[in-house]
Amino acid sequence: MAHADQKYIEALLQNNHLLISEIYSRFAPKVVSFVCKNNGSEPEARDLIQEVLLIIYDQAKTKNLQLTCPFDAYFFLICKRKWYSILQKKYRNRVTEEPVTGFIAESVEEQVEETALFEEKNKLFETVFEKLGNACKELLKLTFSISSMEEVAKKMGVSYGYARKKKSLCIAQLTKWVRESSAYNQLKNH
Amino acid sequence: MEEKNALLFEDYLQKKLSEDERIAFEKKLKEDAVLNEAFLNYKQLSIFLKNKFSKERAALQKTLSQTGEDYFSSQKQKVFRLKPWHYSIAASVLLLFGVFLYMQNNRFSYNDYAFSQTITLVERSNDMKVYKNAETAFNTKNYKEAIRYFNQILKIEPTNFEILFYKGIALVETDSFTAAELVFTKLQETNSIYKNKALFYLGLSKLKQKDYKGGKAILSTIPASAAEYKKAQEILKKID
Repeated sequence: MAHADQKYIEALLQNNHLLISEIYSRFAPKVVSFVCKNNGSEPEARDLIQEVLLIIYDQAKTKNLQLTCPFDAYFFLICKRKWYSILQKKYRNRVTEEPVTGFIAESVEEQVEETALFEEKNKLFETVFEKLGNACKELLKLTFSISSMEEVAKKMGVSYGYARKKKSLCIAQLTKWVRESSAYNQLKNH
Repeated sequence: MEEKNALLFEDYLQKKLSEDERIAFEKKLKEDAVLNEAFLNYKQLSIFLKNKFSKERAALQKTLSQTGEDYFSSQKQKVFRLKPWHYSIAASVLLLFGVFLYMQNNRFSYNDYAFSQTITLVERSNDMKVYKNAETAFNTKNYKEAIRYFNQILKIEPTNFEILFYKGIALVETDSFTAAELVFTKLQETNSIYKNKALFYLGLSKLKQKDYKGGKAILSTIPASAAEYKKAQEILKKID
């Protein structure tokens, strides 16, 4: 069964402004103080928080994320890991991640790991999408923002059959690149 | 491999296969692991793209950046209040500038608090032009024109609170106070991030009409947790 804090995940899914404000007031202070104590600034903490909340949303939306641990621990650990990886890039590997001190429940660890893998896979998808030519990019953008394929075809001035075929080929190209990528084997089961 | 089956995958996901074709395809998926893997990748990429380009995701992104901005600006004010030496610095500055300037500073002027930011409206893929027109008109202070565009948008999206809020601002700027107050009152009944902002500009609208009593009553109801709290308190001191 989902944890009571699933309500914060639902808040992101429903774009519930009031509860999202509550996420900030309850959970942001810890992240801000962590980032500021670790070579970061307040604006960087702000971007980090926004990015992490969006990843959680993406996972909830596309993978039906069910929280089995407190949101506080889950959210903070993701922010912390992500901040270390940002620092590592910034200072070219001169930062070593501080060993996680204190007790972290297994359920939190597992859930954070799952989100990390989800993010990796999303990044891979994002990278292959960027590799596409403009024609494919535009077509995919249109087909996924307009629900009717007939309308897409009309907008592009092509036949319905052509648009449908072209869409499937563009996605096929993406799956080919995904399968050929070095990260694929590690990520394919997630 | 990928290309050969792409159209079949697409038609299956779009539920365009006949009953027989569907059953045959599902059977093949169970028997052929390679095909199954290719299909799962195709499906996952489709889900990824659908989410990437969804309006809901764009709207959430906007809420997050607005809520983050509000949260961090209200934090800054708290930090400022916590440092006592700032008061002595402020006091010395005031002494240097003299009593006259102090009095000047302390007089309420609508223009000091009127909405002065430029706005950026998210472009919707369906009808981008009207959003761009509204944005340009508002930012160049052509408020009457902006209101016309806002009305067009609200016809399509009656619950776009952001547009409603900017319409309220534009109405105050054109002295259409009754209409503005209706808009702000409506916004307060929502749970949107514009709730307290609407309260603030409703108060300001009263003050612009020199209704100091009404303005005071409204501004004093802004909660201490709101980003507008500090500005409201500042005004309350000035009009007291």
